[in-house]
Amino acid sequence: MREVTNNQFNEIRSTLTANEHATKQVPISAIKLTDHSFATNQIEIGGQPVKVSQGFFLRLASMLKMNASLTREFMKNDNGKVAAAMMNALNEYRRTAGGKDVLVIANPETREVIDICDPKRYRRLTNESLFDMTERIMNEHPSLTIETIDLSPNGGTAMINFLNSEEVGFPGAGKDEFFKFGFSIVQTSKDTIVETYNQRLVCANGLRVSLGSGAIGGNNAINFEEKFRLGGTEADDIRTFLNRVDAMKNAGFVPGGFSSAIQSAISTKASLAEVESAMMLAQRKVREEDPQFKKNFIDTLGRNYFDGHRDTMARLAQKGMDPYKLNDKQKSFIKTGQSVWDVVNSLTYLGSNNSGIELDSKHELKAEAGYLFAKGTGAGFDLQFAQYAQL
Amino acid sequence: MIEIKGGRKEQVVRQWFNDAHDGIVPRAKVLDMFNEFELVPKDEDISYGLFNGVIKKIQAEGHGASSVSTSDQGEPRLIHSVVEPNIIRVEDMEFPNFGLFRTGKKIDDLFSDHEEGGGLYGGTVNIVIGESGVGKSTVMLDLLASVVEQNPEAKILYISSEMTRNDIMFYYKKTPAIGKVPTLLLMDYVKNGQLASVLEKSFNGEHDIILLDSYQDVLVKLKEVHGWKSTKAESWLTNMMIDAAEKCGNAVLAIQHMTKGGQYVGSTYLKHATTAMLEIRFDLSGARYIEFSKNRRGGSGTGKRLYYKLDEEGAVVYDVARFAETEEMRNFENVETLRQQDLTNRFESIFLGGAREVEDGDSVEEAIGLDLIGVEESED
Repeated sequence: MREVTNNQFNEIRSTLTANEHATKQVPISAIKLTDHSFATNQIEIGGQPVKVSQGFFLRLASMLKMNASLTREFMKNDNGKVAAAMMNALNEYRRTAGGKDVLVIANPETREVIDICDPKRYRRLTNESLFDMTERIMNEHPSLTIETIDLSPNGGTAMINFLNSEEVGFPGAGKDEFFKFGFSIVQTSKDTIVETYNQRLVCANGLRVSLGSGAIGGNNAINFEEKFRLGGTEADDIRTFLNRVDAMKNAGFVPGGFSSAIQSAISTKASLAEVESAMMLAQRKVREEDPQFKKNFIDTLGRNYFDGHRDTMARLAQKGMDPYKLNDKQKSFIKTGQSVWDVVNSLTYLGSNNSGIELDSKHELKAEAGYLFAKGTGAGFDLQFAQYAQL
Repeated sequence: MIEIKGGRKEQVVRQWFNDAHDGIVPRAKVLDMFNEFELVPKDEDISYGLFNGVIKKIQAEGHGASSVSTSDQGEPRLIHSVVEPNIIRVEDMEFPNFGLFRTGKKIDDLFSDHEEGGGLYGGTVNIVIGESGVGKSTVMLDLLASVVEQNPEAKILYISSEMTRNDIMFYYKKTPAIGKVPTLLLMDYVKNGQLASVLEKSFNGEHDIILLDSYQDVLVKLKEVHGWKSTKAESWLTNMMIDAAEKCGNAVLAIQHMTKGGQYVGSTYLKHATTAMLEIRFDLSGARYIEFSKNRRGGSGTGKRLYYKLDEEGAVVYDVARFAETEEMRNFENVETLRQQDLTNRFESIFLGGAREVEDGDSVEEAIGLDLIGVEESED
């Protein structure tokens, strides 16, 4: 089984600490945009010209509740109007927010301001404290191991994936199907979040999944929330955060509804829309300079991991239908030969292992697998109740 | 001399100044004079307001201390309420031999932080407040019992103004640990009017630790038994407690009630004169904890909650693990705050001209932290 060694842990800790994003709380009035802000990627903070990243203005638009696609469109044809609109929105924000402060976040590596938000929305531990907390959790719960750490040093994000040593099987999931359960601490640019995490032992795939809060095995006494955010960085917030981890431990880290979700995933055929969405996500992540090689890799991914898609497209063509003219809604009613569980496992395998094809941000595949799997307990898989249509 | 005139009550006040102060209103606080006035037995019930009003009249008539002409007297007249300040260097002061008493429990660390292991110092007045039913008496009796267990030579005294002999029997059944606590039941002295006398005798320095339960109830009984005014009863009792601590080196623990809103009941004089204020409270979940809101012997322990439960024997068991965890979380928060501050410094150093270390190859602008980005653009 994979496990992060002490050396790796310390190395990652140093990397993330050194690349920690710089932050500062400033009055809204200190932020100024000029007519040339979009052209030069530059704003003023307290009268000082400051470089900003490409994505900064969209983040600012989001904070000001401006329409993101319109903003993007205007920015392409910058003529000063967007800057004026944003300045107006900033002034309006200042009026409604009572002259309060905003938090600006910068990447020290690129020396750019990359984000802006309400300081109350910034509930994130520093990376160094995150690693202190991780050490504490490991000391407190000796049965846990750190399976992997997914990180994006420049993006300021990281995921520390913990697994409990206990192996858990589920009736109906197959006699060789055993899982290890744990959780992930996810460090986004503004939040520190915990999500449940598990690993299918047969191929050591990691899956980040949140099935919503609920009773474990019907026992309300060991309920826990499967996804929660740090409420702040004060002592009580940190204690609450750790208490919730303790509550997860008391339930063996097994999310409520996992058992029924796995059985639904095994017994439900994935829809063409579900397979296609998963396949395209994986294909978009192929990292290869050479266009021909890249095409080959993309085809290989489709053939080896999402074969239900190719077979179904062929089946539809044989029946005289042009599958490329179907919309997503229509595709969600078409059954493939792959079960939802197969698709989930393809995503988690690609997200967790070296498949021989270079992929960017592999951890997103694990998250996508989690979303797909969790659909079964919420909205339901596309074809989960298809049999009722025949009644 | 002051002219005797006005109503009967006014005449009593005027006569008192003639008798006690040679016809002069001294330069002293009205409250102090009133307390002195209250000590003299008299038939009339004279309020503080009336007393104060008469003083103003007498002063207006030219009998105030400041209005005394020195030329008439030959030399300045001595007013016996005005005292020469006794200024001494601290190193020359004489101090009583303070004891240090430990319970062997976590509460020791909160009582003081001058020595390893903490403990309750003699020479202190400690007010214990808490809402009804939270366990003020229980926690304090457990403290006395634990002190004796650790140090059998320690002389302790529990003074209860509220409990009767029967009440204490039921309390003893529930909490056997108090069995060896020497106890004085003030109810025994209420009927025969010996309350003040027995209290004075108890605070005479024979006991190392005295627990008074409760301050407020003793005040009520002093007023009822001896017909004293509130101000007199309060200053008498408070001064006696302070003297026991200051002059005899006793550790005085006085239980005090709270309002329904959770606020301290009692005079500001008592509040400021005390060494420590210990609060015993319920948290939102109903769990009980103690917390010092003031402590001149243990500043580092103030504001820290120490949760407790009662075991089957009725003994107080402090949740040491929870206390340690809270401390750990506080430290975590402090470290995190410093780290967040470091990120702010980093931001300022990059963008806003803050100081940063000069690196080889830095330009002047970079060296002073000014990141003059977009210079080319602005020159265009």
